[in-house]
Amino acid sequence: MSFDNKSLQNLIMGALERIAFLVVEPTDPNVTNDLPPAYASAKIDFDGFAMGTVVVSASEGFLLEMASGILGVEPEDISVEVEGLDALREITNILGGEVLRALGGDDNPSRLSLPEVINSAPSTWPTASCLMDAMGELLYVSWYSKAAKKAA
Amino acid sequence: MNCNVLIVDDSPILRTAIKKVVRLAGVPDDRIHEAGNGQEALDVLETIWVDLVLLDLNMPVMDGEQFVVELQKRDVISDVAVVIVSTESNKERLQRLRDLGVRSSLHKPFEPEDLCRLITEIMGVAS
Repeated sequence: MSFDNKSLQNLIMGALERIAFLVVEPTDPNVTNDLPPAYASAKIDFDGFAMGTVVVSASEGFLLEMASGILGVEPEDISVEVEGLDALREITNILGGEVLRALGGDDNPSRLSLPEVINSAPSTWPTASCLMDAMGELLYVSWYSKAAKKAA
Repeated sequence: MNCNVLIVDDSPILRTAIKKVVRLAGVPDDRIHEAGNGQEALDVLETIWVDLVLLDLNMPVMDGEQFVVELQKRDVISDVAVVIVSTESNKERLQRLRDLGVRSSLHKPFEPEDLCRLITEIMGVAS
């Protein structure tokens, strides 16, 4: 199944709208923008018929907005280190599941790892990636595909 | 709704979000309980009667599937309504869980209304 930047964008927009009531829009990574830098990144690996890693990076403001949307409270009442990073792990978990599903996970056995906050993204070029602008805050999602295991 | 609900998810923020939906379904605060993994959920079940378990699968220490297997071993799976709330979409795994006695499943990310409806459907008759 073909899975490209556009497919990834659609998954991100759908997931954030449902889980955090957030509207985000893709933006061209090649065009200079004023988006703030990433505050934190998290990754989730999947293994089985498809193998790979999804990495999600977000600015501090985005983490506050996302956690605020999930909890239904004001961003001022959120701690970025507590609820913000928890929200980052959860959206990484959800996007990992969504990517796997888009690749055919409904009908093929696979396993997701636990999501974890990381210090640096993989040094390889991503298979698909999206830079999203969420009301002036940054969200960057990338998917790194690895060779799939052959069926027994 | 006079039932005890146990939310099992390793993400505190998701547990809080799910708790709000459970409240909206009509379950009072003092009847909503939380656990961060399958082992903690078993500990809760040792102390209180639970009617409905909203269960994540991908968790540390004891995952959701191990928890369901444990309920079956203890012969209590038929007494508790277990609903999977997870990113899991693999049909084979979900069917295996249903064969073990899981009542239903809801895919994350979900609409709050869908979870509310599911809780009402499953617990409505018993309430």
